Amino acid sequence: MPLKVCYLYPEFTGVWGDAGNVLAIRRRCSWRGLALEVYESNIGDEPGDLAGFDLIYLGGTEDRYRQVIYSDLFRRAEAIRLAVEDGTVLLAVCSGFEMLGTTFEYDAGSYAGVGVFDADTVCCGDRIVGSVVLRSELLSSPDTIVGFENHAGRTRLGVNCLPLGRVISGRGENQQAEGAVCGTAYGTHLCGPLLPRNPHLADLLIRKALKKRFGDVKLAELTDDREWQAHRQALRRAGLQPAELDVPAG
Amino acid sequence: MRILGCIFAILLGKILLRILRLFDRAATTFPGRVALRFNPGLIGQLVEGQSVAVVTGTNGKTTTVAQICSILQRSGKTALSNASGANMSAGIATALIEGADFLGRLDSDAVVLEVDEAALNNLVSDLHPEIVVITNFFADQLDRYGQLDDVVSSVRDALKPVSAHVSVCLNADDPRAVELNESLCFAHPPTFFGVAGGHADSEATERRRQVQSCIRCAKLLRYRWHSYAHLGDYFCPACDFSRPQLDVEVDIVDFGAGESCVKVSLTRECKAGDSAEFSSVLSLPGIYNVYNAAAAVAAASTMGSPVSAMQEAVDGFRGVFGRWESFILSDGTVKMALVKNAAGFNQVLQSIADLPGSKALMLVLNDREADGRDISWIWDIQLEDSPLITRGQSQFAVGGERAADLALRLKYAGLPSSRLQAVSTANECVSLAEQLVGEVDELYVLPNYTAMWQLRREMLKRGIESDR
Repeated sequence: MPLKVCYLYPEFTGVWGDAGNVLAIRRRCSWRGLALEVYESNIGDEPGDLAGFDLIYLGGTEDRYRQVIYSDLFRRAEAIRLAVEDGTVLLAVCSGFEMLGTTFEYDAGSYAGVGVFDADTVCCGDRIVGSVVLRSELLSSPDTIVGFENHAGRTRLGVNCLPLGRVISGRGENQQAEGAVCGTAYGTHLCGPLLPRNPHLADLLIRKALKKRFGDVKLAELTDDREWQAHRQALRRAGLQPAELDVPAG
Repeated sequence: MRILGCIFAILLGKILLRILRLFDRAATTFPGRVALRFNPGLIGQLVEGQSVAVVTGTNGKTTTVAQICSILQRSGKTALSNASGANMSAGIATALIEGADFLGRLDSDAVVLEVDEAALNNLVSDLHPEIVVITNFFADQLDRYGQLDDVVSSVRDALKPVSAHVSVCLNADDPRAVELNESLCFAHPPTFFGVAGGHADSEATERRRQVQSCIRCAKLLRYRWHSYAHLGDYFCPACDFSRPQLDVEVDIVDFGAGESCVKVSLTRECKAGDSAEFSSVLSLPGIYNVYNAAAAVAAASTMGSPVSAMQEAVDGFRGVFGRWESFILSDGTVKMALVKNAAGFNQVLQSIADLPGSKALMLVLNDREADGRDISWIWDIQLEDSPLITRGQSQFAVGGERAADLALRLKYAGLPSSRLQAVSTANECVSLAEQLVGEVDELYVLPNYTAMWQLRREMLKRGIESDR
């Protein structure tokens, strides 16, 4: 039985490198001989049984398409919440993350979110743009996550959410919380190729996705040479020492 | 006082140009930047009274400017341009300083400038363009621009104060470009250029496209066909927004691997005695180069150039530096094609896949200010589906400051590590190129902006000759 992945609105989320995250899940399963099916779901699809999926991916879209995506997401809100309650892993990035929170703002309007994350997003001032490094309690050896952010929204977490990590480089380097984890739902503002450069996070999501129907599965080790090289390079460019942070040599 | 300030800034700029050239530096922006420090109004003073044409948009600016200049030259006119591709105020000032005499007079019939799409708004009051050409709008350098709509808005704001007198040439096949005609009231109706449908359709090669929405009613646009990316024949299913009637239409009669036979039709009235149609052979690969030729012809027709000059220029055009530029090495030829965003990269990949022979590709990526700091876009390139990856013969190499990210990208595209070599500096890239070029029929080097300049400098330093 294949791992079933639902890729939401791919035609709307192709400018921030989101395809890279789905590709990372796809490859890391196929390299291990794990069967995988990716279903691309677009505007107007029946809400259906999203709980039938093991992993749902929602990326970032241009503001121009927020309204249309939001209307469609809201129509499916119940199905998305039920899927996450049922243990389906959800990864939401940028505007996708913001719209799945409790409330969000954009374009001078305030909206009720889908409510997967206990998080509010306010929209103010300049866009936050730049490379970031996080440390995450979800990960070890290394516990770093490298990425790039480009967004206007500022997200504040409620008590029912943990941050994905805390910023140690970029955005003021002040231990600020980044992203959110609520049960099996993961949200972040780190856009584009988040998972390829953070293979430990990709594998964490795959393990959690497998857990729903297959229980605890130990994933086969992969040769993550290129992955850790890119991860190490991102750390070095942020002025950090990969060796001190326990990053594999690659 | 004003004249003195102008002369002083020009003198300073010219001295800096001389000194930097002595040291073999390209000097495409620095003299202008310094001169503007002393005289911020310099650009406006230099182009005063000149007929200025501006080319802006995401891709194809440099090539379109070169083609417009070529058409003008073939109709007996002289043109001044920022041919180096430095398209912000400092680069434009440098080109103007170089072209001016010491009193600030430009000895040319026309000034044709490419202008960065986000910089146009600050430059338009200085340049007072008579003609503005919009090539296309694609996602590019989003770390600098924010979102594509912000770029389009910025161009809209730039055009607003000049809309009463400017003549615009718009890519009719790009709904984002045509949007400008919706919100602005141009005194002269725009000249719309585009390609004729029903051929060279990339439907099969681009698996996924970004949807586009109607500027009037926000419904999603439908397409009768696509030429590439989001360009094509679109219409709104809910209102009457659709691709406009073409004033300059390029019909691709035969789409070859390295060249295209085209028939160009001009439906606006031409100069007396001219045929409003001509055929040409365009010696550059890719449908995006057909669009560049269409843009240039549209601009030239607005300037009143004769059709014979357009035909000669399109026939004789061999491209500009870094865009399918050939370098002659002892063991073979290297072709260099600039790639700086996903839309352009997909086009170049497809062109290479269509060309015959065994191939090696060297991808070189930097992330400096001029390139854009964010390289997420490499994950939007549709590499997975390219026969260059899937058919399993082409060798790949990666270089530049973000070589590690390219290597990772290729790994996830499905390229086995046995077909990949990684280097970093320009020096190492060129040494590897010299080795690879003897092993395959064709070596293609695909750098982004600053990487292209580094590689060209390194090759010219080694005495490797270019065909440009």
